Amino acid sequence: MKKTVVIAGAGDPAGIRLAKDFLKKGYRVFAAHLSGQQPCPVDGVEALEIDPMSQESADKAAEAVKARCGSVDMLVVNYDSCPVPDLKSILDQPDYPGMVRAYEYNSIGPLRAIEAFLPLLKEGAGKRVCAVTSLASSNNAARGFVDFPGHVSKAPLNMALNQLFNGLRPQGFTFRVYCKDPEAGPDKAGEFAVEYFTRNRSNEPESYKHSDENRLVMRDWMGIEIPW
Amino acid sequence: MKNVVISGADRNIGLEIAKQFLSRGWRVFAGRFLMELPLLDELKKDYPDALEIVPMDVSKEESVQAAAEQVAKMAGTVDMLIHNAAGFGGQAGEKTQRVDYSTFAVPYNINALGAMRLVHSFAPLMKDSGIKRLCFVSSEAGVVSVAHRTEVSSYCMSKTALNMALRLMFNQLQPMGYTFRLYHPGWVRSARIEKPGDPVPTFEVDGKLVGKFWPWEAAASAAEQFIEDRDWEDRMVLIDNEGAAWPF
Repeated sequence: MKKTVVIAGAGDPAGIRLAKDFLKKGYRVFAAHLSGQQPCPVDGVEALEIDPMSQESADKAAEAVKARCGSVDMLVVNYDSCPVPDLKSILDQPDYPGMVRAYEYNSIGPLRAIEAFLPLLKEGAGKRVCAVTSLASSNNAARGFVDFPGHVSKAPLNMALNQLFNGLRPQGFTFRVYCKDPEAGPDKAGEFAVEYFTRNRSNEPESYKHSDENRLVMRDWMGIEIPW
Repeated sequence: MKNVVISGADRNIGLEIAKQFLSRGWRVFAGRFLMELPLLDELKKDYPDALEIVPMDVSKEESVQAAAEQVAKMAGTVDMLIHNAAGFGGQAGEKTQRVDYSTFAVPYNINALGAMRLVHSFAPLMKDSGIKRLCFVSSEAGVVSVAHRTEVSSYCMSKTALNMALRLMFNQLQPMGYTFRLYHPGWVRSARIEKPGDPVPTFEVDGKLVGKFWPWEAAASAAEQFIEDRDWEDRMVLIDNEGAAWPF
């Protein structure tokens, strides 16, 4: 039987790449574009739509998937309302309401999807939660002083993913966190993400000291570990 | 006489920090959020000249801007800024059947964006004079690399957001001569009192005190760290009330 993946956020370049690569791997792909995005233009996916700001919308998408296949092996969340950096620093006038919206979209949006699909993931054999984020989410790697909306809205998702990992890993769940290449064009966005998401990382030579499955790590498109 | 602006000075750690600075001879602008709670009024009786009470809701830009204008009229410049105000929101987990994410933006708006509003509005009063010190009550709860809780917490997420906002501010403002203090107060017994007559919790469970520190204990070590000069200001470090440094 085919494995099933739900991509929440399949309408941007990284999401489209994910959909294509999962199909190549033989997955059944539910591609949910986010409100405001074009539907995922890939043949062979089953299309859905999710409003990132609404729990009800995520719940409805989960119900639609449940009606069609009953369980899900893997969930990918890919929410980015700030693909272009905001060039204002703290000394410029910040857009506070816009920053609240960015947080609701980039951090709470993925959590709403995880909340909605968790019952289906528990039914599935894969039990894997994957998140696409960006270098802007890393406090330890932040070198600049602009783009408050991008940085401050995305960092909290890393905290929430760690807390979900702490709660769900003992129940057999595994997690992947992938950092997009900020310089990648549309053809390269999301490159190697599916390879990373689908691979078993518990017995690789590189991770002989500490399995990637029993600690949460964030890796970039080159597989390099990014600090939190 | 040096002066300091403190957000969330109505009660608990913020009130105790105000007392610490007053007892050291500072002029204190105490940001007031809870208009019914009289604790700051009582403190003003002891320090009628040194304590100024300033209405301040860090969740609202116009309130922080108005506070900055009021302080500008009274003092002209500011030496030290302390962001202590904090809010709580929803928490999620296996025990609660469904997570209500609708309240998650509340602590984010107070704890993280509140720090930005303060720094943005008060920086013009600090840039030309004084010791240019920016102090923040953060928390180990926001440290991603040692996240240990097993349920998703809006409070933890908001403190992660705060730490990120501070990182970006530090990268710009430290080379301009501003110095930063990030402080984790420990597990403090804080009473959620909002008006006169609100019962003060006993912090006891089965006859045993829960929580580790009282607000005045946390405030005493905070004031020391905020005031002390360091010869390593080019590092942003989160230090707790016992002097231990935390990662991010």
